[in-house]
Amino acid sequence: MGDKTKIDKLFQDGLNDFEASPQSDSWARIHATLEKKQQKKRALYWRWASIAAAVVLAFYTGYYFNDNAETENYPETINQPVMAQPDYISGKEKNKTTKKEESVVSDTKQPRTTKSNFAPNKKVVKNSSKPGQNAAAKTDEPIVSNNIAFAKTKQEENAITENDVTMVPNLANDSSTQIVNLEKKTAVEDEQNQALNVPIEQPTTSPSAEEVTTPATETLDYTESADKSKPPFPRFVISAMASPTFPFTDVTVNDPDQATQNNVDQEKLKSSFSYGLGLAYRISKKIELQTGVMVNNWKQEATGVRLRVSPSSITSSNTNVDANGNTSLGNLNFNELTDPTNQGKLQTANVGGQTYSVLPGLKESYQFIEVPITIGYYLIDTKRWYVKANIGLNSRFVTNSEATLLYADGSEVPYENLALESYTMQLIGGAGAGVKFGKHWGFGLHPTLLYGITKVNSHNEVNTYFHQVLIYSCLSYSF
Amino acid sequence: MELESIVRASQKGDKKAHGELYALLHRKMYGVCLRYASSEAEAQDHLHDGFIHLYKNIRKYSFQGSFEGWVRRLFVNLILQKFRNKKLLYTTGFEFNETHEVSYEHILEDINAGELLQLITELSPQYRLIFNLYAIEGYSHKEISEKLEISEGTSKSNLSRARSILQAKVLERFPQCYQMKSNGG
Repeated sequence: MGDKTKIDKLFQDGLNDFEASPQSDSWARIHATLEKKQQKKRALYWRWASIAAAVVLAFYTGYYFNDNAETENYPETINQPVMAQPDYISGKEKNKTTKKEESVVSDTKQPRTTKSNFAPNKKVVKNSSKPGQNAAAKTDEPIVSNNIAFAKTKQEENAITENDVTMVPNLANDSSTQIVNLEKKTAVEDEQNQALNVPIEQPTTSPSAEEVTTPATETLDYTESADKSKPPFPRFVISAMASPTFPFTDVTVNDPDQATQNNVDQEKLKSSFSYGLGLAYRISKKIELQTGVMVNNWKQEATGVRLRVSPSSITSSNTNVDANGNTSLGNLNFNELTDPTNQGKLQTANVGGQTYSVLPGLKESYQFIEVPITIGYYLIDTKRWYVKANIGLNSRFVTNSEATLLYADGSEVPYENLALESYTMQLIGGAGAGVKFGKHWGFGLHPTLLYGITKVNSHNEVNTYFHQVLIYSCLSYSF
Repeated sequence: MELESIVRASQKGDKKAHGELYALLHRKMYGVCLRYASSEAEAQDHLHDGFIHLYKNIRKYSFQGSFEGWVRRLFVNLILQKFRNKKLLYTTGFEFNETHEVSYEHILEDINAGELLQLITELSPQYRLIFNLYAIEGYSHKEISEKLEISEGTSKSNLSRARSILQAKVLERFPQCYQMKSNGG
């Protein structure tokens, strides 16, 4: 025992503070790796920043267009009242009121020019409802809807007349010149003034100016009634989808052993296919939420995979060697081989003084189940065709992995240790255009990009990001 | 003080400070790497990965205790992790009886240390690791068993075997050296 601790001491004394100089290019290699890492870090920041921006943009777009879709309805229902108002004030309507059809036309045009005058609009509501009786047969529904809205309850009618009442003072106060003009108007206007005068008798009960200038509650009523009267667009879409896949990868090799880079360079991606079911729910005419379940495949092949042999030679007492190598998707480890060729199954190569075993071929095939969640925006949606764009995130689960080693003697052996990450995430985006057949059916082509944002491999020597371009053929049923 | 300011700068990602740290430490750390490696190429890999690991983790150094000692532990732990990941550990070790191809003579100033290193290099990976950790770094069997995920018994028996092999080799190749140290001790 004493001898053995002396052995310890001998080595400790001799080696504890042992120093040696590495190769002269050692720092250059470290420096290069640091630079590379920094670039990668920057790329990663950009990657995440772009994803964050895309998601924020998608949601913002969703809200924006969704809001717009709703507000777009408002003018349809509100406009009617809005339009009539300026007619009286401007006097332009003088001539038009004599021809009712023309007045309808002008009604539809006016809201744009007089949007800012809400208070006067109220008065117009009342007025417009009268000609509206004549115009009931007119093509535009707003008038009809106004009538419906007005006729809902007596209370509402009262409310409206009250509003009308308030309009008069508003007019009187706000623009006496306009009133002067009004007084000079045609017989139609006189009628309207009469109508206005009736409520004037009860001004004390009129609501405040605030109520007059905020027609929001009424607007909601109109909107609802308008929605009910319109045929709804189909809310749900189910699609059967299938596509060839065009894969590409983004591979960073961290392993200083050049063999790994060589192995990665050797790999060839194979086109494959994807298919599945898509589901969409349209939250508005423009926006839909999309999801689905897809089956996807990834195949690649490599030839001449180099495996570093360690130790580099067999000695009399050392009868085993290990052969280890890295590919883009994992480590290949052959332990305790009796010789670097594994009894003729592998080939050997000597590169830069280092012995390598060479695996003649490697085939890999993976199957995934994917669940995308995306937001779609309809750029065009007519009776006959549509164009839409979508963006979102795709979740991918590995459901099957098959790796096959092709040996030099022609045999093929499954290899089960190339472990991919079981879950990865992709940014998914694309566009689609298609035609519609009848009310429910449609067929379209949807070019799509699946861009990997988490790495697919679980080993440290290589970072592999897997991307795909797909062109989905999409048969859809809407209801 | 000089070292502290370099470390602080390096913690902030200063590339120049990274270079200065390398200049200060690379010879010592390469010495550590050589002790754990089967070949010079492997030691170079350890040195490269060790410094990258150091720059990545240098913020964790809290200026308590020797910086060099901290870096050394960082290197040793990284090497252990690499061994574990690559499954290069053997439950039953084997030893080289023949002279290893790699020679360190051209890089060593201290020929005695070079010879000792040569002997250690010739051990099997697991014997070499355990001997390094126990005899030179001063870890206990309990710590070694935790680090290598083996039992304490295995650690002890492997150490014992490593010592026997080294002793036999020292007696065989450098009887004078061993004699001198032995008498001196």
